[in-house]
Amino acid sequence: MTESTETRLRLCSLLDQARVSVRSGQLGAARSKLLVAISLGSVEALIDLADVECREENREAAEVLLAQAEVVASRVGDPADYFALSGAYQLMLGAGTLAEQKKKAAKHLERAAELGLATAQATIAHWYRLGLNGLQADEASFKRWIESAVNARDPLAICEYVGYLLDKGQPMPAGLAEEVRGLSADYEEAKSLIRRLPL
Amino acid sequence: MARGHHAALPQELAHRWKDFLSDEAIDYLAGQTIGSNIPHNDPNSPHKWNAAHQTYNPAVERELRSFMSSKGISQDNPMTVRQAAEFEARILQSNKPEIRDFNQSIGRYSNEVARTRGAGRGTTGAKGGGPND
Repeated sequence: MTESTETRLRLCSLLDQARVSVRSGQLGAARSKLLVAISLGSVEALIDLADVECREENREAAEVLLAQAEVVASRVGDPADYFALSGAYQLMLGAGTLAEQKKKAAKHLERAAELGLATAQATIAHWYRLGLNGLQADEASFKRWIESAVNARDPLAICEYVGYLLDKGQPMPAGLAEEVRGLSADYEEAKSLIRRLPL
Repeated sequence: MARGHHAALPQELAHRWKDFLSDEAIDYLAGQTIGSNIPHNDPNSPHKWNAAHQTYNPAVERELRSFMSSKGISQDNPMTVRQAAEFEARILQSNKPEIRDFNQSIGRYSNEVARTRGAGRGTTGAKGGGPND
């Protein structure tokens, strides 16, 4: 087992234990587990600790922890960390207004997409297509991100792109309809498209 | 339709209380989601934990009733967009365990999906051309 795998497993265990403690109201126990995870460089632990602070009505402390998470994320450059930060602001763990936090959520999600995380590309594309979570609907941005996510074979992106092409009456790139058929066993998003696909 | 969990007002409640919501408030609340990267029928998604959702929806409904009462919202004076955003913030910042734990579990599962799919990362940024090229 490599050192990084070992560290990752240890972090998962610490986060799991902390979350069990939070759910049973043992915030002190959760805090001590999270502090160990933070010392191992975990952005998720910083976010979870921000949640603990919010539960204790310490929103300013939560905001400081999220700022610290942003610093660690920028140093490490793991898109999954930016994705987690986006989620933290979607859940309003920071101290700003709803609009301010939604803006940060979109910014971090877009950063995760820029760093190549296909599920982030698919998610931000979905937001741009429908104008969700404070973003204005923007077809150019939708197409920019959906094409990247489809190239990475993200299943939800493939379904969304095919749905978009069908809505627009545009031709389907070769093989895409077959991919949707192949996804239909596992994805309801694909199943709902099947009857609209060209034979 | 938007994917994900409608944290501020689950669809079942939006339907039940639609006469007390302006059309703009309904549109606004429909556009606020968390966990948009979780497939709709993912069996591991907390959204599929019926027991948790069955606790969540009544808790949100209690908040909704209390909010509407405090704001004088009625069928003749339906919820505005501004009030919908205020209600959304109230739900997202709620410390009631049945609300906060459920929303957090969706957020965490969403992160887990992102990390799991991280192995299949695609092109860096959006430099690629069209699909399948």
